[in-house]
Amino acid sequence: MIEPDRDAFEPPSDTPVVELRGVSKSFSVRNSVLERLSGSDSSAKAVCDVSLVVHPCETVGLVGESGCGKSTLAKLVTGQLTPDRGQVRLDGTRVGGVSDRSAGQCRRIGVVFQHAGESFDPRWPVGRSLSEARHDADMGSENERGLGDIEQLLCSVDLGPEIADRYPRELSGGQIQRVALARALAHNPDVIVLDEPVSGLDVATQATILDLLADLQQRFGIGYLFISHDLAVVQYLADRIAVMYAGEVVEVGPADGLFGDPNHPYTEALLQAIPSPDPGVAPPTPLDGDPPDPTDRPTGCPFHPRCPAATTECAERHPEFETVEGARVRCFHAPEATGECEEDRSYQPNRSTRSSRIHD
Amino acid sequence: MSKPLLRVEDLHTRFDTDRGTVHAVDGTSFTVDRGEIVGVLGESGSGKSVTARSICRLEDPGRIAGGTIEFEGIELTTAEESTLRRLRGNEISMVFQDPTETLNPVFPVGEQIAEAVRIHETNDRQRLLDFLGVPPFRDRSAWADARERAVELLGQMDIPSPKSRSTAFPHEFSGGLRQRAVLAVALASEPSLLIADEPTTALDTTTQADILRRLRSLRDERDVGILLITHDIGVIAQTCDRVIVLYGGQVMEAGPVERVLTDPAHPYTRSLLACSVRNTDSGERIHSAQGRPPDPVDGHEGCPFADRCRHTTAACREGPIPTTERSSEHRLSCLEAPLPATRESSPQRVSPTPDGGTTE
Repeated sequence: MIEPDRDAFEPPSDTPVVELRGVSKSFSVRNSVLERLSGSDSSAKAVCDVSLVVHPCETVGLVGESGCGKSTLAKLVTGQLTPDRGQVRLDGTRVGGVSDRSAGQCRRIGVVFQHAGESFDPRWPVGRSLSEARHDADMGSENERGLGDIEQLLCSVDLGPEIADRYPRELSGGQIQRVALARALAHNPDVIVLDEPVSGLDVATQATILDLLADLQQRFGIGYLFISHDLAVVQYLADRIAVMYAGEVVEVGPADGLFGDPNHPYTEALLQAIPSPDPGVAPPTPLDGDPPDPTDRPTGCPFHPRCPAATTECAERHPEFETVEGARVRCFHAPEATGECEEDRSYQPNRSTRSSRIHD
Repeated sequence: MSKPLLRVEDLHTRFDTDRGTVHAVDGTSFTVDRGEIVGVLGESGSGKSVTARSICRLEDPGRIAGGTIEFEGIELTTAEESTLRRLRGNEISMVFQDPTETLNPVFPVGEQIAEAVRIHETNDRQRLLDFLGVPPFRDRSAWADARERAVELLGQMDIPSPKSRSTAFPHEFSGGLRQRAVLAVALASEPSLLIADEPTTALDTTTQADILRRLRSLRDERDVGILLITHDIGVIAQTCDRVIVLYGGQVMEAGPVERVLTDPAHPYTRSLLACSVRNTDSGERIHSAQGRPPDPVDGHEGCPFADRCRHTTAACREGPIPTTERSSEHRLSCLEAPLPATRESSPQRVSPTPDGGTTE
């Protein structure tokens, strides 16, 4: 059994579990007959040409303001939505939506939904919800990780067996988040999509959940796609970070580098907005303006109307990805770009088969 | 020294449940002055929201079992319902955590702000006539004025194109816009005290920075006293003048932000600061506080934090904990203080001068 060490993290040379290749998703907002007849393109572009990979044992943080398409991207990964363009690949195989995926493929991805409390049936004790997830999982795979029964599942997220008889409303925010995590673990996933898992929890509970997530990753070698608008949280847990703005990934790179030395003005603005716990530091300066309307996206760089460094070039041309010190950034003003880069490969995974993955 | 805007003295709010009496607020004392922002910090379940609701006398189904709440010389615990009605919204306004749930989804935002304006300027009889909508008695021009005022308020909140936005429904607003609209409702009557219960928890970091800037400008420009409830230490550090740390319904530590956050004297404040992700480097484990918050049923004997505290002695679990003054305005409820410094901070020893008051 090989355990990845967080401190000496090295990108695993495995095939990515999840790979997004230039996916786009738009939602039709045409509502009147007239608009439908005229056929004007008024669709809301939620995700535009996003490429992203998640490897086993790796945490990819996805940050951005609300409405930037983070949750849509998560739904594309889980198969709740299918992309209009581009491909979603699981272990190198192209897959469709949930209904088109085999039981084994569905099993690969676990989900912790945004409002964990609301994702449980209020009339079922949580134990029943867990055993349902467990039962579904048994159809497709054998019990690999010894999380067979509910008690062990609860135990793996540091909860006592008595929780199984409780109803969702009887649990605190931190407890329900743990149960949601246990449910995601029930079918031995390789990647868990965590949609805002700690927003709305107080600092003490947040800390325990983050510690738990780090522990589970070490124990089971799970990859996380960690979605959050709180950069401090993402910085703590993520190995790589993708910053999204208006449906596009504007910067992606290793967590340390991205936070230490952001290349995109939007990343910088997000970092500046974090209130410092030190009262001596000046209050953060909010970013002026609002994110663009997804039905009416600005030309060129989507961030240019709010960008302090914007020039006429930004309004006219759409920047392509450039590689700057290990990070990939979409900005004309990124410092000392080292060259153009076409595909999202922060590191080139080799084409080894899945059987090389090590389970404990 | 002039009288403070709000003085809460030894407040006890209790809920009678099947399991016994829950002591949600257990002897809290603090003051809020005009033109200052007082932060209330604590984990969930520490009594922050119940304290806020008790001030508005919205403690139902709980009851205020003791103590006084004095607002501009009016004693609120014994005040008539009509007096409270006059004060609520007029003099004391409240902003809640989730703006989506605060606004009525079936009325336009402008209408809701106009309603707040109108309700606060009319007497009861006119309100009834308005409600019945009897044409000759319905004060149409006043409603038109109120709508104009609503547009003006939206403009003050920097909502783009306020005129057209005022007819939009809450679901058409983004989270930040909605919270600004809720602030507009709260400020419609120009209150002297604003109670903000986790106003930014559901918002992005960038939007949060904007809302916090607005709160600061309210304090500076309109001389409003603000009670800001949050569990985010960054928010407290960047916004508040003074901070009250609540735990188990009791004030653990209170004082100027610079003192409490940079040189915390209470073990609970220290553990809260230690478990903040923002104080933790990536890869390092967060120091989450051990144990769970105490069961609030039937109150506490001694210090509520005793079970989780490293410095607990037998005396901590016995009688009431006296409040000591560490330096001017920096109050503390801990028998073991001053504690040895845990970090580079060197707390200067100030001889405790019991002010005669105790927390019980």
